[in-house]
Amino acid sequence: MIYCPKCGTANRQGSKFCNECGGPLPTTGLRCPMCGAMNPTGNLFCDRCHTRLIPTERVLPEETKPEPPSPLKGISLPSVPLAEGGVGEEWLAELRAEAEEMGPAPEGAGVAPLPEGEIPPWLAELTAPAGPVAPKAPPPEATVPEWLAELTAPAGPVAPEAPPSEATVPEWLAELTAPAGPVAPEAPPSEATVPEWLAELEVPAGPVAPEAPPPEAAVPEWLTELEVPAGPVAPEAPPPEAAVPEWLAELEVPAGPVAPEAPPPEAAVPEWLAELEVPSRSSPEASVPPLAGITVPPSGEIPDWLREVQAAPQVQEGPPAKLPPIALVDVPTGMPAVPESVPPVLLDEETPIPAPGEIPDWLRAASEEALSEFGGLVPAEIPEWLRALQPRAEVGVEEEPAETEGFLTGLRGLLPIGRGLDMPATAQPSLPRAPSPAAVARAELLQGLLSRPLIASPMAAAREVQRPTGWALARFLVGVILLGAILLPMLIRLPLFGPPVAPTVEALFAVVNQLSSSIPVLVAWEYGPAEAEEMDRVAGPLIDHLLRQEARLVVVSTRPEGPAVAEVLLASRLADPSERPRRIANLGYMPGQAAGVRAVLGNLDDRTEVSTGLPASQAEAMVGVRSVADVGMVVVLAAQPDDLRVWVEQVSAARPDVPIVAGVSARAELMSTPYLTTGQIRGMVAGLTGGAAYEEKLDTGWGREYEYYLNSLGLAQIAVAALAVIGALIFLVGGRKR
Amino acid sequence: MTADLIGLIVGTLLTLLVLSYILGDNPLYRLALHLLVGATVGYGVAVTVVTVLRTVLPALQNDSPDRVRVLIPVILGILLLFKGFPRWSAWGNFSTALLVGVGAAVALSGALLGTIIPQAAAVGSLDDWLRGGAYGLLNGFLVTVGTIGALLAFAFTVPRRPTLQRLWNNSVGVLGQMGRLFLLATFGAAFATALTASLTVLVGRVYAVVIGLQRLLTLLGMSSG
Repeated sequence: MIYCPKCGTANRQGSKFCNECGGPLPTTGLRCPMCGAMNPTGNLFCDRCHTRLIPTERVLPEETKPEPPSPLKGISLPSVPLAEGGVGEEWLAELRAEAEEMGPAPEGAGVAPLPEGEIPPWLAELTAPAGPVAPKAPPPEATVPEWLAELTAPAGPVAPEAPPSEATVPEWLAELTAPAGPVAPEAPPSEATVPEWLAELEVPAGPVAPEAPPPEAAVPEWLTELEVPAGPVAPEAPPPEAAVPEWLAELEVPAGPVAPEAPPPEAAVPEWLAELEVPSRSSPEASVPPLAGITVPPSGEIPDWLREVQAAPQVQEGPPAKLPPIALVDVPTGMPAVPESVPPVLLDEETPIPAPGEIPDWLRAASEEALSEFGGLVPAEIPEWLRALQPRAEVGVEEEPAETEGFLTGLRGLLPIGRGLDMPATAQPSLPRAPSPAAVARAELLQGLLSRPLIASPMAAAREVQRPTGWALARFLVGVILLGAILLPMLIRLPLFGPPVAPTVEALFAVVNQLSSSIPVLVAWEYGPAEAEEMDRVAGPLIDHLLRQEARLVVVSTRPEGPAVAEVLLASRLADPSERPRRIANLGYMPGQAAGVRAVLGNLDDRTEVSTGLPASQAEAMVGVRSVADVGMVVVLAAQPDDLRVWVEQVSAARPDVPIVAGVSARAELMSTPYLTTGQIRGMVAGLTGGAAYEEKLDTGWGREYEYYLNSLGLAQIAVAALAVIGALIFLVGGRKR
Repeated sequence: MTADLIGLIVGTLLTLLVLSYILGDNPLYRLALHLLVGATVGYGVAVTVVTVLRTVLPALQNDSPDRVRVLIPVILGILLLFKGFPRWSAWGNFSTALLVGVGAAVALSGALLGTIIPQAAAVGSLDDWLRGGAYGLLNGFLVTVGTIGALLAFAFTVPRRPTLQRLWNNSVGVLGQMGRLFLLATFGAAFATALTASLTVLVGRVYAVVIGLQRLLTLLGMSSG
């Protein structure tokens, strides 16, 4: 049985498709994807071409395995507006819908705060203190940590900071960071320290001119909005457009002091966003817009979440916590209203558009680095986000097998390769069954018969039979005993048996006696010379009786020798041969067995009389006889039971009203008695005993001969019975030897 | 007289040749056997040819409507002769089919109307057996048990389930064994009747030999009568 891998239904062996679900069933062998050869189950490699049959697991390089993004707290990610009807975050759509319904929230008014017990922990961390918000008051320098001070934009012009030391900031970061204020050209890293691929990404060492910002197409819009007006800029010439990659240009922040007097317009930057001042340095955090609804705590108060970030700067290893839909919870009063829309991101065609809520790899890496390990990078260590960009050769990825059949021949990767898909449902090997003992015996018998030499003649076969010693003597003794039993009554008149008793003869005698004179009687003569010795003693008295009744006998036979035997008996029984044409019509042999009997029953005059050669219709004994319906009785003289059966069946079917009587041999008596019981046979004389009884009824002078016959027959039967008993005793006493 | 004497002598000799089988298979017995078979077949063929030709040939020569009626069987008979030649045996298929089909149809109808239905009706009903008294009841019992038992005697299969096997052996098996007893009795009776017929023929032949020898001796003047 093959079990469907889809629905588990058991299918017949050899099935290709499931009988229940129609799904393809695994075959019992493995087809080589290259050469198409069928291989036995369990092969790892093709027997013909040595192609691997069982695909290994797809091995991804260690470096390319995606790592779970780190959770970001308090940072809103850049996103694109949801497409109409597109697949987007439902929670964001609901958030917008609710915001639209609520209308522009009044400043300082928020959603009703949740009770203490209903606020989830994560929200509790995000919620700001309930006091009045003073966004424009930065925290005092004493309470704000140093790293946070770097994130917050100074109120006045930012003094150019000294670049981090070589021990703390790697070279790549130094190259990526735009110097505040006039940037002195730095020497490029040596070839030994910077890999070649990184050299392609490196920024030209020339000073950046703040007056020549990157084109609008290269800088996203939301980044543009976050852009701080440039302060005094170093006079260095801007790098050529072709030298700066696009993705690096997106990260690039105009250098120079930030002019606090030129805040972003109100329409472009929401008020709450303006409270989060962007640092002058192009850190990854600077490119991330703040999370909607989060307000900067008042000066001197550090929120819990920020405190946690400060206390535990390491990056979390676990899976990212999904940012909960903010709109689904009630924001405490005092929190800023949710902006109507997130500022879109302007991306060029080559920049992959992140899915809503998805953090780009470069941004995630940058944010993680900045949040957790800012300033703590190990020298010469390639950050992970940059390592992902490293070109590498494909390692260990097996090519999908090509289709070898059908119209998809030659195409690869159409059907997935799964372990166990090609494995048979039943892994039991089909071993050839051992032949049964009976089959082996039959085969040996057939082999023995075929190996035997052909027998030339039956005589040779008889000679091959090994007779036991004394077999011929025993057979001779049996013959002598039988002959003695038969001859003894002829030599010595012994009154061994009385007058024969045959009850059926009485009925037959009465029926024949009722026949009127000259009535035609159809006589079926169904015995030959081999049975004449018995049947003549049966048929003789009956024929005598019929002739005595002046009946006209119409004789027919289905056996070729029947008419001749009939002629002999009729000639001997007819006292006056001159009366033969008037009394007897022998219609001869009638072929066809049952069909012949049926045919002759309807056309008795359509035959030829044997003795005269004239048509039956012209025979004197056939006057007025055309079919079985014209006869007064049907007499069947049959030595075999089948002959009597055929005649009884056909006459009963053709003319049930015509009486049937029978004279049969002793052999046919047993099978003829049921017809006598049913009345289909009105009377019957059977065997020598019946003939003798009929002869005695007629009293024609043949009694002496019948007496001899009956005595001889009786003694012979006794002798046979005695021999049978003796033989059985010898067999039982002497052992079961043949 | 001469023909009778020759017939008596030939008949006596052939009978003695056949009876020589008591001493075993010998050429004399086989000579008599071949003579019997050959004479029987030859006589049968002669009778068939003469009978058919004597019926058909005159009909073909006449201009009567019987000519057409006889012509079709003659054609079918000629086609049947092709059965003796393997290459042309297909020509006789229609004649063979006609013979077999007609013969089977006639035999089947005759068996139904002449044997099966009357014999089934003659078995009688329970009322008939009750009216027959003890003999009727015994007859009915023997008929019922004998018929069912004889049929079940040829049930050579058994169920696979062990519980059904025990039930089968206790019911069908027992009836089958009884049916085998009925069959044994039937075959014994048939053998006895066949033996009686054979002994009757033997008695007649011995009697014929004795009578023939007496006549021969009388003719030769060696017997006193």
